[in-house]
Amino acid sequence: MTQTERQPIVSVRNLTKRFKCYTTPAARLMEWLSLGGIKKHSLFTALDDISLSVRKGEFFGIVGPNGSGKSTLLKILTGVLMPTSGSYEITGRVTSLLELGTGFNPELTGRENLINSGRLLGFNERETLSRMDRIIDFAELGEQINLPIKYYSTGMVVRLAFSLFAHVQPDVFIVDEALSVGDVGFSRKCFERLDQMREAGCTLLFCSHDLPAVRKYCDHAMFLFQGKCAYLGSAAEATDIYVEAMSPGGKAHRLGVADQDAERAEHRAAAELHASMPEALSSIFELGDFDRVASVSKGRVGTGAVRIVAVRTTDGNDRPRSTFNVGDRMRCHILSLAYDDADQATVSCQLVNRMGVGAWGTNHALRTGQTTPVRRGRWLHAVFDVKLDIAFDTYAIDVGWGDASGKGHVFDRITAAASVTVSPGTHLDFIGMARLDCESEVTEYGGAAAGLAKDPVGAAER
Amino acid sequence: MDEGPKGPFAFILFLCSGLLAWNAFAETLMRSTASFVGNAGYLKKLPLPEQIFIAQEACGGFLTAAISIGIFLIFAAAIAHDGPYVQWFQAIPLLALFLGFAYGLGLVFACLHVFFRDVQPFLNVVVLLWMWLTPVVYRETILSNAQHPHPVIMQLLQLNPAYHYVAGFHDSLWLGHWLAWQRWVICIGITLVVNLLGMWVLRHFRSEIRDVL
Repeated sequence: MTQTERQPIVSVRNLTKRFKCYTTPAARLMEWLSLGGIKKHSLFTALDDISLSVRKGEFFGIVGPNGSGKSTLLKILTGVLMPTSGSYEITGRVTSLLELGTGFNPELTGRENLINSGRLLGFNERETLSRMDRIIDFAELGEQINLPIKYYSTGMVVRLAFSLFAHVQPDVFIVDEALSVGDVGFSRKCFERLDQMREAGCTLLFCSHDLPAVRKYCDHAMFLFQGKCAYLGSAAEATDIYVEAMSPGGKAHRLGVADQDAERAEHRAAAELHASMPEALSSIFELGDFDRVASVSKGRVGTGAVRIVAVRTTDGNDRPRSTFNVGDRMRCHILSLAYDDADQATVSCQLVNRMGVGAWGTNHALRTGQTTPVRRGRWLHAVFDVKLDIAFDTYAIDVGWGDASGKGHVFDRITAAASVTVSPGTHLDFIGMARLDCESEVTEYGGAAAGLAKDPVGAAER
Repeated sequence: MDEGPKGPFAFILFLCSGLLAWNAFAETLMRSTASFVGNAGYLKKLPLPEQIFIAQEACGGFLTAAISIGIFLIFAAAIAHDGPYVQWFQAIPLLALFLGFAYGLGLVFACLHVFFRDVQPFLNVVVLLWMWLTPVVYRETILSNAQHPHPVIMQLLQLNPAYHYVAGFHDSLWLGHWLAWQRWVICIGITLVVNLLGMWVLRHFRSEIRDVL
């Protein structure tokens, strides 16, 4: 069967969903009593003119930030919510994993719950019973299946639920951010099962923040943003556009966020700075670096005597780079412009891991014992050349300029001005937060045979 | 009045014949009203028809009432030596109609309760008041006898839909009479009309209920 021969199994045309929002129940009552004469509600558009079609056997991903309408769309396709306008059509039986374990009764055993939930999903008892063994087998619950599920751990309930849903062979399977639960092994098993289901002709609608999974399993994807379809096409491209749009200074603004005028002004200012920077630095800093710093509004403090205008990480040869291996040298370039005079200033740089823990940081005065005199109107190019002997992780780079004379003024400080990813590389010779400078040795001596009779840790018994 | 059983059990027989059915009705109505909100977890996740939660309450109410009325009738026959009568079996379809009436009202109030969470406590008071406006624990004949003549009230009573069902229970269980066909027609009619109303209300608000839950 070729792609073109297949009929769309899910087709959505111009789907729009608006929610009526009332501030209080009394407002609703007023509106009712006036028979629609007084309008007391505001409309919230959760989905705006969405169209898509998915063919049989295709895996379709939906990505987007929180509140972009992903769940609303899936709920409409499941039949839980009703669209305000537009239409959708699904051929065949739909099963949805909107929330794992919906309809499970804690007092019933795993087995009873399977039958019960199966009924809720519209499968008769015989259908569920005939697949019972495979379901239980897949869930790997062993004897526990005969215990009331109130004694199960959360993960076990999830396994049970997924197993049930994956074995009732729906034509369309809707999964809303549910596969990230469960341990690594089970998660992989779930995806393997999805592959089998695809071969059996099952169509999947998959909404997730797990972008690698979307890239890997979905043929097509939609990037939803504020209820609008921002991109519809290949899964790889959709996730790329999503990541790019949501990164700080990315084009999320262009997709209709906030204030477009402010955005344009920021961009103009960044472009002006970029055009006027010293010629010698043009190989290091790009316009995007200026844009990124210009669009930072939260996480920036300072008097403004010195303003950081661009931050960029490079390798040892000053080629732009933001992923490194453990042990690589990274050069962090900070370009700033002085708006005022300061006799004793210093520039700082800090790496903060994803848990918000400062992994390392220093400032120029601390390191060299010398402060930097700053003159109004001058460009300042600072470089921190760091050997990344540090745990593999993604780090945010906080940079700043401040007064080093003891007054403690902060001229400019930017949290997460850039980010850098440190990968394990080919050979990792340490664990933990940092590769400390370490020597190790083992020396051998003879003649301790008598000591073997006593076994201080009981190793012999084990 | 000289109708009905005599003796020390007379009042208890009268009381139970109406009150058991009324309690089932009131309970079903109250529970139905809360059922959409109470089952929000299901309604938000599964494309189930909303009315099954009300139907569940009505069926539960029917079973409970059927059992308690059954036990009461055994008591009546064995201890109070009243009956058994074939007429008692009229209580089964009558109970179904009465709870069908509760089901229809339940649909309406369950929808309202989703939007206004004060509906249930409010309804609680209304149902109590309604019980005293309906001759459940007293005989309607006291409203029209020589000492307390209230003929207008007797006519107003006809407008109280619950009266027809309760009177049916009194007639069949307590007096052991066959119900007049007019009574059946009225009861079936009320249940039907209220159910149509309930279905209309649910259809009208269905989409919004799911949004609000």
